[in-house]
Amino acid sequence: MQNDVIIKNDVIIRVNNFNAWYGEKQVLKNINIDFKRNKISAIIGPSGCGKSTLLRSINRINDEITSYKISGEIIFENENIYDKELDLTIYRKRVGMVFQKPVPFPMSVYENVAFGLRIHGMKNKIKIDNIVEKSLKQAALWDEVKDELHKSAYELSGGQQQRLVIARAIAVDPEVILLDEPTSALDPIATQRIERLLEELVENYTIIIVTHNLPQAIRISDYIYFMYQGELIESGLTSEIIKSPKNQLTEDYLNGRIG
Amino acid sequence: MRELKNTINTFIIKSVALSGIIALILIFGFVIRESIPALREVGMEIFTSFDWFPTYDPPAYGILTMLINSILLTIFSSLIVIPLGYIIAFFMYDYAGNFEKKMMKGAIDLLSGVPSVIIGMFLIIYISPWMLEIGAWSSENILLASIGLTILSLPYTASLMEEAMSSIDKNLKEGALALGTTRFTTGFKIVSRAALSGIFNAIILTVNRIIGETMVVLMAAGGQICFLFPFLIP
Ligand SMILES: Nc1ncnc2c1ncn2[C@@H]1O[C@H](COP(=O)(O)OP(=O)(O)OP(=O)(O)O)[C@@H](O)[C@H]1O
Ligand SMILES: [Mg+2]
Repeated sequence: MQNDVIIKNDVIIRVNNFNAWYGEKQVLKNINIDFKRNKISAIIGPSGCGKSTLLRSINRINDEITSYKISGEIIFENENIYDKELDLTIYRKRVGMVFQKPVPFPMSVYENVAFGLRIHGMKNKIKIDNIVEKSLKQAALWDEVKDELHKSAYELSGGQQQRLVIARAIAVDPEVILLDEPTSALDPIATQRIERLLEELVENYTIIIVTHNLPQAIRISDYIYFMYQGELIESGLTSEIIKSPKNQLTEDYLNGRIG
Repeated sequence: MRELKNTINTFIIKSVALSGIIALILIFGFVIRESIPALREVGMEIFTSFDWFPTYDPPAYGILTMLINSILLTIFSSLIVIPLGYIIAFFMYDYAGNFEKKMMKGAIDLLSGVPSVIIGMFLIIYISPWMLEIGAWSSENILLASIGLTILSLPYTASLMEEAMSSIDKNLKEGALALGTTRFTTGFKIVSRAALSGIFNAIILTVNRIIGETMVVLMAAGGQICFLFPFLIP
């Protein structure tokens, strides 16, 4: 009994018999995953296997796509997120997301980060200033923009925009951060800083990251989830999966034979 | 070879563009030149007098009334059309379901295809008597003309603004929503701001259209021009 409670508490997001369709096309097939609290979970798999769809389903941003349909449940802290009662704005503050393609808001660098704080009711200018600075530092962007905080975010380079979007997401202090290939547009140094950031953040947050970069997944993740054509093929501790994958497909992917 | 082709292409494009501009200048010059004798005859009176009696003897040619009426009419109609058009566009962009959107788009396209004469007739036959009943002094007034202009340009404005908003990258909207921004704030503060230049464009085109639309005004505000109060008065 006691054991049971501990196991449950260990899991922050439970994906339960989850299926998803775009129109007639099924892209997620009976997915079951328990995402662990305060861990980095990496979702890997070849292009088009449904990684982004899964991540977007967890943030419920796929509600925006009209042809999108689901069955099954996703449970966050004992609450089904597809429940009609759920307050989406509060939920999305707690489970934030960084997208594959970063698009800053049409405002200054500073305002991009402050925006999330303002919409969630923060008014104190000094507090906002502090959080903006802290978030930009965490996202390894501060040194590059600290003298031009009030220039338009569109003047930043692609990699800087990517880091700005990460800063924007962590500023509102979410409990879970979903990241869809956050470093695909970054150079090795910025990538390394983001990876270090994620390792830092994971002490207080839960991180779920989609990545095409297998060495990266191996470097930073505690758990790996390997997907293939809409199905979850194999999952487990990163160290174990690397050492001895149980499924032939996983082994092929790890050896670069597919994907 | 490629260099040459490029030069030729540039030359053709430039000359076509230039000929358009030259034609415009010529038209403008022609209009001014042809009006000089008339202006000389009438003198400054044309801009300073309210009297427009071209058939009297001696005739009076003050266009001030018409000028002011036109400006007032444009301002009033714009004040109705632009906010209303934005609200409709906002709804279509953000809240309308697929079916609603299709219906509204259809209605808008249909409405913008209606000739202005029909709208003028409609106003005179249906709205005007009703206005007389509630106390208008004349069957032809500026409010009526404003209504006509609204009907005429609203569909156009709304669809232009909706297009401006829809052309914004979906990722921008999703980024804002994913942060926990409400649907309204996302549309109003993020998407609208990104679409600002498109929305401005729509506003300018709308004002243009209102200024340019004479038929409805002639029918609804009356051919005769008497300047008093803008509302409910001929
Ligand atoms: N909006 C959409 N409408 C229709 N089909 C879609 C849509 N988005 C994705 N798909 C399809 O769903 C499948 C899964 O897409 P998804 O984006 O989840 O893959 P992914 O694993 O993230 O791929 P990648 O690594 O290339 O980003 C693909 O076959 C894709 O073509
Ligand atoms: Mg993807």
